[in-house]
Amino acid sequence: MKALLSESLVFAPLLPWPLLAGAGLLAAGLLVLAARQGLRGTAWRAVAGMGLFLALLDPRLLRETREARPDVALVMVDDSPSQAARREATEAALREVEARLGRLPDLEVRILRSDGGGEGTRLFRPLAEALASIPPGRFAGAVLITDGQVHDRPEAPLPGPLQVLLTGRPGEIDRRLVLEQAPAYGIVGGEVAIRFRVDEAGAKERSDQPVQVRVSSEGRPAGVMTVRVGEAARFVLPVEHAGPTVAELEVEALPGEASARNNRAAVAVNGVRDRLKVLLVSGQPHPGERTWRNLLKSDPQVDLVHFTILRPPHKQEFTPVDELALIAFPVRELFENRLKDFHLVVFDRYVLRQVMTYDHLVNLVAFVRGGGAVLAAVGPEYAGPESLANSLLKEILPALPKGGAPAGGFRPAPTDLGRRHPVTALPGAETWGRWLRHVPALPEGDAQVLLQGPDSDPLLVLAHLDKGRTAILLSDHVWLWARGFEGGGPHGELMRRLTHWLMKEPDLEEEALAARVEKGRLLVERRSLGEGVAAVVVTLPSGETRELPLGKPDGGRASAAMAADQPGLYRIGDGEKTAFAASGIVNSLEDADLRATDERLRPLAAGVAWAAEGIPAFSRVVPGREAAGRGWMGLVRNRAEVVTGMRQVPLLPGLMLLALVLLPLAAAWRREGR
Amino acid sequence: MDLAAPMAVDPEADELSFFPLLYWPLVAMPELSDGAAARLKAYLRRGGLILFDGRDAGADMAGLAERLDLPRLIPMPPDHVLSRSYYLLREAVGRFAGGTVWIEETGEGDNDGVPTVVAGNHDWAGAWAVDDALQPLLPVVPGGERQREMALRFGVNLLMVALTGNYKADQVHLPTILERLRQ
Repeated sequence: MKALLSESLVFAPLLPWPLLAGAGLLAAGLLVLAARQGLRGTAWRAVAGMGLFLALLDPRLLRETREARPDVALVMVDDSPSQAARREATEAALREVEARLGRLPDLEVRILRSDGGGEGTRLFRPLAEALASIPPGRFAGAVLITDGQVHDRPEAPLPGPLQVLLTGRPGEIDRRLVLEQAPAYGIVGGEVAIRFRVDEAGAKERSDQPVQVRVSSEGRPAGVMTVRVGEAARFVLPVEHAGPTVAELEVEALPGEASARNNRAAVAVNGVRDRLKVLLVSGQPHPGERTWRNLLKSDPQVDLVHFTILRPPHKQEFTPVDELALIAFPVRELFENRLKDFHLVVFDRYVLRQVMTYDHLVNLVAFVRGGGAVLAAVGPEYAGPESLANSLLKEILPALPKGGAPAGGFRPAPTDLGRRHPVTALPGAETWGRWLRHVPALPEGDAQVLLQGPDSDPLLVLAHLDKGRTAILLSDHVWLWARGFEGGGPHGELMRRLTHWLMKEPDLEEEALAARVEKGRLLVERRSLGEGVAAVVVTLPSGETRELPLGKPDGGRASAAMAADQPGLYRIGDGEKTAFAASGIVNSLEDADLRATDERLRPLAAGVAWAAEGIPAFSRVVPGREAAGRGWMGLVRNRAEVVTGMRQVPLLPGLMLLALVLLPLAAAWRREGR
Repeated sequence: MDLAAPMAVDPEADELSFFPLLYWPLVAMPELSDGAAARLKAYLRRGGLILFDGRDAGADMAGLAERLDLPRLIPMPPDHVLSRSYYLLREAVGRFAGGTVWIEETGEGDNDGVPTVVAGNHDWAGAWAVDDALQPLLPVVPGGERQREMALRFGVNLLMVALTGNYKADQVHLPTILERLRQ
């Protein structure tokens, strides 16, 4: 910093100005009087009077040392997602600007970077924050290095010139895919329509040729559509299962377009089942039947068809038929024709009494292997001669009887596996009431035992069978919980979860990898009964893969999250399962137009230039004058200074004063005396 | 169904949840304790069924109704599930014929449409009673043995409802249900 010296004359009057002025006038008046009267020595007295006056004014010499303070210029670099394809050009422009500004004297350069804030590109807010830390009167100007797609405006006018340096080139073109309508839900087995459109911006003529849009569903190709630019189109997506189905649409790139980032969009459609159709077959009237009936009838998603064998074929009935309210069990209708209409068949204390034929059983086994479900709720008859286990059904039942059905109280308890499984992960197991009989059995194959009875006998056993599922409840006393015996137990919740698991409700899956995009973040959750994995592999829409470590598992669940700022399909894999998540309309403001443009900033800026056409020269200008022109951009020079030292030198020291006043007075006195 | 011999139940001490049906002859009896009243109320709430039988006019039905928080009773409609849950019955009879059978008014949703309280003045137990040789003990008025048969059928129907709920009422809608399944 250069030091400047300045000198000036100042007065420090000993009396207030009005008094001084009044006294002066009085003195002047007296002198004039004296002069009129011809008093000798007046002139000397006048000199003395002036001397006194000057003394009262106390003139001094002021010497100040000042230092010039440098101005501050801000350079704001736009790092928002729309600039993704221009990073190299941006960095090159930044280096050149830094170099040129560095050559200017007395200028401090601060470099800021902003990622835009997430909702569009907002650069003026961080700029205003940086401005607040610059002392007033020292702002030289701001230089923005951006693609021009800025979505906010300064709240107050800047105290200096705004210069804009644009990355990219004038006249860029951009093609993008716009989702017009994407339904969030669809019925399983049905289809949904996705409406979309391809737009082009900046091109002088719209492409006349039709363009191709590739559609994939869950990572697999689902079709190619040919559409015209600007026209709405419709893709029909089949919904094949419950839970999210993620589809991605991508339009082919326009050669030379600014960015292909917005050529992709993804949609997640949640499959919901219309109605869950359950067939309940009760082998005999018993208290548990009311419990099953009440449970299934009160489930709002379930359509129940219930049949009870009220009279076994071997019991003679002498009542005439027209006095009986019995109907024939429509076994053929149900087990030959209609079986595929059901999602779940529940056998409630059912025994085979030559009611179902061998073919019906074959149908039932095929029904399960093909994706259906069977639940057997059994009592002591399961260990008897007419048990379901003594038929073809033993192929699908998850546990087969050991023999005997002892009566004896016990408290049903979850196994270790049961505590982690979504169906039986229920709190308060220590408070459950007892049941009073069960059927000892052995689990088959890799069936899972979730609840156990006395002597670790299995009580609730689940199994997967090809595409279907089976379960067996080895006691008919669940109704004791409904009646509140010894406090009862969660019969409603347990049975609901069991039936819904059998019907493949996604939330109850014991092994599941789920992912979704929410508010710009990708959330991943993994549920497992076995060992967890440390990390999952995420494939971004751009094709790049990244490893995402999972958090600590809590009761079989582990989760992780990461930012999801690219539109399109995210694929998440853990080595066994794959999940998909859709990021469709995340930052629509940012991705709406990816062309570099001067339109937004030109009204606000002193100067706008394209970096590609050459970085302009920078120079210092005087405030209030033009700040930009062809090939150059200006930053004001405020010449701010700070006083660093001050000295006052009185001009009328005491002795001089004496001489100036007393001597003339003496001379006047002498003159008067002659 | 195989029926065991009837058991006397003491609401103070016995576990009520084991019984699908309780038969309550309305005779003069000591006041119910609070504990017993609470257990009986819980029994009804959790799907139990009580048959109140006024053998003579000596019982205080109103007082009992208030103590046990019994629901409002209406006369049994002619097509009620009780008349067709196993046997088709034209009328409900016990040892005495005539008179109304009262049931709880239920919508289809609550408790599967099953009444928790059935009441009448028919002395059903009197019609059902047999000795060790399985010979009936009391005469049935006025219908004789045919009426006894009907009284027994009423009992079977009642028990069926206690065990299978509103099942028979569903059957009427069966063709519609099966048709709806197809969609």
